Amino acid sequence: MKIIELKNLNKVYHEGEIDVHAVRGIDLSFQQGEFTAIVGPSGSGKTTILNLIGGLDNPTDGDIIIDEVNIGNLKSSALTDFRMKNIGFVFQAYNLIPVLTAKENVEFIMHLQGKSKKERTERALQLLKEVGLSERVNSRPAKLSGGQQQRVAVARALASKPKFILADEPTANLDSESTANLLDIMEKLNKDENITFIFSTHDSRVVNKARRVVTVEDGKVVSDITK
Amino acid sequence: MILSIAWKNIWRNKLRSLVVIFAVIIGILSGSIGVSIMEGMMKSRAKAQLNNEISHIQIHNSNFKFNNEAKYYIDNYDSIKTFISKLDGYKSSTDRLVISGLINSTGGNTAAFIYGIYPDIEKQVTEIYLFVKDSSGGYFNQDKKNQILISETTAKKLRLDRYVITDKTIELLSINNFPVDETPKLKTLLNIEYRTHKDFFNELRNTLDSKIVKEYEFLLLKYAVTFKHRANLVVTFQDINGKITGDRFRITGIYKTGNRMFDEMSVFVNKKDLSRLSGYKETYSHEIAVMLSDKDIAKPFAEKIKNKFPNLKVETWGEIEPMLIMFSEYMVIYNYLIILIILAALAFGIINTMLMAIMERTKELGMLAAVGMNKNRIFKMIMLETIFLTITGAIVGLVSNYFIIDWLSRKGIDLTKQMGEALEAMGFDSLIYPEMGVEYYFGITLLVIFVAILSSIYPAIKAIKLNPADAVRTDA
Ligand SMILES: Nc1ncnc2c1ncn2[C@@H]1O[C@H](COP(=O)(O)OP(=O)(O)OP(=O)(O)O)[C@@H](O)[C@H]1O
Ligand SMILES: [Mg+2]
Repeated sequence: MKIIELKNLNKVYHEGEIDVHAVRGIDLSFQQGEFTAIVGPSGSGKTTILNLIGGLDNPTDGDIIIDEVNIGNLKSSALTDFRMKNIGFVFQAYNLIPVLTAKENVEFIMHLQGKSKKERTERALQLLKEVGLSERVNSRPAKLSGGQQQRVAVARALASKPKFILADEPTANLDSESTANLLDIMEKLNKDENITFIFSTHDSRVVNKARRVVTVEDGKVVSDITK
Repeated sequence: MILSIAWKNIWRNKLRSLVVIFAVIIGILSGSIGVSIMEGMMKSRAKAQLNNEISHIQIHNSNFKFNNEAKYYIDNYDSIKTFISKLDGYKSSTDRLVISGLINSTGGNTAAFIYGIYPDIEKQVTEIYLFVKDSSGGYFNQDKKNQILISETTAKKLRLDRYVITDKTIELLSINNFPVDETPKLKTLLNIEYRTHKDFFNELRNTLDSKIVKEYEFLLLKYAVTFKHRANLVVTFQDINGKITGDRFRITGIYKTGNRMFDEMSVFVNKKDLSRLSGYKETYSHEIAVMLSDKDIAKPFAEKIKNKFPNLKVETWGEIEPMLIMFSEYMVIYNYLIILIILAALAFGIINTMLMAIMERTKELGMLAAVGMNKNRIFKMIMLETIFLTITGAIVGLVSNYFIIDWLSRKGIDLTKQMGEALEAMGFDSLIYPEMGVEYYFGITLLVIFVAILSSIYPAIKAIKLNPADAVRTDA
């Protein structure tokens, strides 16, 4: 089932006098249950593409259709709401609210969604267990390692039961052991629970785990290989 | 949850938040201590005016006040008293004769209202007797004829003032930090009496450092002044037939209230003496003063008297001295204005701090927006942070204020040395007992909330203007 469709997507940033054409006419679609890496050199437009799919940024031209909704047509507040209900995010850093514990961070989105306290607590504990952090539910982010923080971020992203998870270089700040650990968790979630992951990366070990690899260069898709 | 996040966020940069909170505490404290001083001054002045001068209700012949003519008197005090003493809230009352006249001494003269009072009953209504200095003699003595009680101001006008440095003077001065090295010089003047203020100061300037004389002028005067004892005065006034009459009176004592205007205008004699000399019968009265259990019931109480005795002029303290009410109303506005100004200044510090906090948290706020925290919620969170920050300071400020004022109100603030003369000239006591009504605690809290909300708006707008895509880019 197709859940994301990009049609003739363009993004131009205006930096003073200069126009930066970060995304140039991309047509792409993603299916439910994919485990896809977007790769490419620095500045090629990976982050821009993910931000556009995630509705964090508006395209200059083209359409982004998620589950039959053209998110380009949504107003800012509706878009925020849409993100909350449909998309999970894992960023490279600054994923968590520093003043909340791991469990509270996971609960936070469910709180925004208006879920009951009981449901929130149960699900948060369940998700933290899935990412292997049952022992650290009451720790604040500063007390967790980078890898543990990213795992909390994955749990947090899953909390809202999103249609897919976008992860922009989720392992960029991690050592190889933590990277492997995080990827194992993501892979397991993908296999066992059919969670869709779309992530960007520079890291060849991460690329190797992906089942589909989309390569971008200079704002264009130059190859799209499904293993 | 947003509430708890907001509260926790304040403590992320403890030092910075504490600085702001501390500033709010200081602001609130200085503002409310200022308020309490003003309130204390006003209240004690109002109280003194009611207790010494005006009483709660005054009754006159309906023509009396307009031209101050003694021929407009009341002749039925007995029946009035019988009526009012049965009303709820009645505490005490007395009647007086009031005749304007001239007071002469060998050294000078002055005009004044001569109040013929019943010394003992008067004690139940006014507190003048408390302001008679023992050293000046004392209050009225039961069995002596033609006694008169005058004020210090009147005594000075009559040139009855004398200046002597006594051991007591030196003791009182040293309590007020009179320099120790000047004290021996002062002692050279011990027990020498000067007949005028001018002579006294000339001598002081010759003896002491002139700067010290200047600094301690008011206190030197206050503690060195004495009055000629039991001096004879000639009091003249018109009798009931309009003929000039008068007699010799001997000063029984000298009083001094905080209100110079009142002191200047009022002398007291025994009603029996005044009645005998003026021809107004002892049962006649020009003025009836009534004290009630509570000054705030004066209006309905006066209404009842008016209904019963429609020909009398019955006035409440508020009607006699509208300034008292006006003053306290203006005071409230003025006090809140001061606090508002202080809070407005604090608001800039608060805004600045919140802007800094937001700048530091750009990425985090971007992340929050990205994962679905909408603008309303972000706005609310920043607003709450600002309010918490401010309110925390305000609560600590108001609570410590409560204890400080409680302490000050027992101890009093003595401004005699700094501004005693000016304060007394305006009718204020120079020993101030600060107080602040509960309504101010509510009022200030509301103002603080108002200012906190206002100062939160700009930072909150800044926060929601952040673009999540820019904010989450880690390379930025
Ligand atoms: N807000 C912006 N304003 C102007 N130019 C921008 C902005 N964001 C990105 N760009 C430019 O758009 C292009 C694509 O950037 P993008 O961040 O998407 O690349 P990337 O593939 O994610 O790179 P990296 O691997 O370094 O993260 C770059 O040339 C970048 O400089
Ligand atoms: Mg990038």
